Amino acid sequence: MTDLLLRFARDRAALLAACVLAGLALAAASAQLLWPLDPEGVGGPPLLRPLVDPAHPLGTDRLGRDVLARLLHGARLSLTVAFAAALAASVLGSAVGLAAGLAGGRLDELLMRITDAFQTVPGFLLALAFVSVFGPDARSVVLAIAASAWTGPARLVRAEIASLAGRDFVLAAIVAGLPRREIALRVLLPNALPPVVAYAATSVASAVLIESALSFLGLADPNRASWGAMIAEGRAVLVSEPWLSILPGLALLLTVLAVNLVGEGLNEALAPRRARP
Amino acid sequence: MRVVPLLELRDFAVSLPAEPAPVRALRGLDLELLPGERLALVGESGSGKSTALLAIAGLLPDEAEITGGRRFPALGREPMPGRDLGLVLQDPFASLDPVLSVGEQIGEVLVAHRGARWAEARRAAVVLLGRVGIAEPEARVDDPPHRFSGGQRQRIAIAMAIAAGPRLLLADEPTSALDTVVQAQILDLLDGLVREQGTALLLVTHDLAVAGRIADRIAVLYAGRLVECGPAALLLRHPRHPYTRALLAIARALEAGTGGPLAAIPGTPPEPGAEPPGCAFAPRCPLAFARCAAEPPAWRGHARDGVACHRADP
Repeated sequence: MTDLLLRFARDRAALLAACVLAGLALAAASAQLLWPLDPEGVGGPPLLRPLVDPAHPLGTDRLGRDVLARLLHGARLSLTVAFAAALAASVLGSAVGLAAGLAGGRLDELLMRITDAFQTVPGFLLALAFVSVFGPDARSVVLAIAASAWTGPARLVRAEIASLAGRDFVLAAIVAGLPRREIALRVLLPNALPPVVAYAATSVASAVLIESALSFLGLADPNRASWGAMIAEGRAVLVSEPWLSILPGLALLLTVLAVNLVGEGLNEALAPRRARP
Repeated sequence: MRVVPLLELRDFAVSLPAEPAPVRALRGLDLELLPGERLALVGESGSGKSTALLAIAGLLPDEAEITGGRRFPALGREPMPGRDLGLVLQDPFASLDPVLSVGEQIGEVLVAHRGARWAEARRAAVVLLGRVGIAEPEARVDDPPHRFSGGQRQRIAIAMAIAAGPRLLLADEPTSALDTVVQAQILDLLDGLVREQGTALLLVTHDLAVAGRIADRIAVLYAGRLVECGPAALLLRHPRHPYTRALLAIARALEAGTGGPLAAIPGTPPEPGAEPPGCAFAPRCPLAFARCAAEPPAWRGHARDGVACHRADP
């Protein structure tokens, strides 16, 4: 574990990105303390520009709501939804992949065809359909994103199980007479997980984007500040007050970039141990 | 009174599916192993020695076609992996799980077979690590395998294989991936452990020197058949089969480190599927005469000591 962290820390970009992400998460979690203005309440004159009024350092929107407060609360929603979705997708996908890889034969065939079916539907379309059926609250957004994102981990885990099955240490575990369940959960699964972890990290980025896109289209909870919704609202005054769209756009860019870099760093840090014979 | 053998192979043959024709990896092998006995199975790559080991462990793929007898008379049943037999593999860098600590890997075996609780299993793992010669086992038991050297890893793999106290320890070239000094240490360790516990050892190796160091008895395999077997000391002093003699000459030359051209047996083992009608070794044999190419030599002697060669005296 410490080796892993050390290797990760050697990648400066990934380390920086991890710090940015941690800062963002911390700021989002402590939004009330950090910047106690109500993100939904009218706090000042409308359309105040950034860096003019120290009471509203990032200005206000068309309804006079504080942009900084909305950004911070938006981060909270985006990050929570994205991480929850990536986690749900990884757990579900790993379970499906493990079952398929271990069972082989018909069950494998069945599970993989279901995975194929899910994979052929574009993820965003699936999420749209999901949210329009189950309503626009955060939980169904999480499920909507996970519903399309689980196929990646499922395929990864299945492929890893197949390649692990012939490895010496798995053979050793079989000859040691370990129960099948033990071999599956303690030997095969942990060894199959590193690529899933790296994949999950990058799928957080796409989850952030899908969540924003859904709220941009007005398909997320209208009563909670969200980056996508902020960009959508800013559109009406895009020409005269572009910062209203640019600021949440930058936040989105920064988050997605940071998540991707962390994902890549994780991938690199996890790879050498796996590559070692 | 006759001792009941632990393992008995009778006319044991294995075909592995392959294109274009199935490979007959073992072509009628008779082998016997007594409780506590240490037998080395020696041969070149492709001689079928590893197949024999996997077959004994019950690890051949389902597609393998097996004929002949494989019995465990002293057990009276099919051996339970872990409890009745342990396996040490060749490459200690591949045979340990990179994710689990070494203590967990050894402990798992104890939990599975002794019904030990985790805390007991960990303590027992420390003891086992100490027994296989890992220094400061208490401090190292939670380390992952990559913190250990190749020799240490092989020690850990051995600890895992003997954790549940099996009666038969199988070892597939356990020292081939290690350097010479470590090789000797691992052999001594194996030797000491099986002596202490009265475990039977079946060691597969291509190196007669390794076999001579640890085995009571040596069985030489060529092209899926036994060509000679007998007590180790006797066989090494008076090899009867020309193939054994050739192997021995190579082992001696390597040991002596003579700077001359590398000793080798001219020619190659027969391609699978293209075995000659007579003795499989005849095309490479310096003593071959007409009969060798035409008629497979019968086994002379008995199951535990004998030779299959037209030229040899029984």
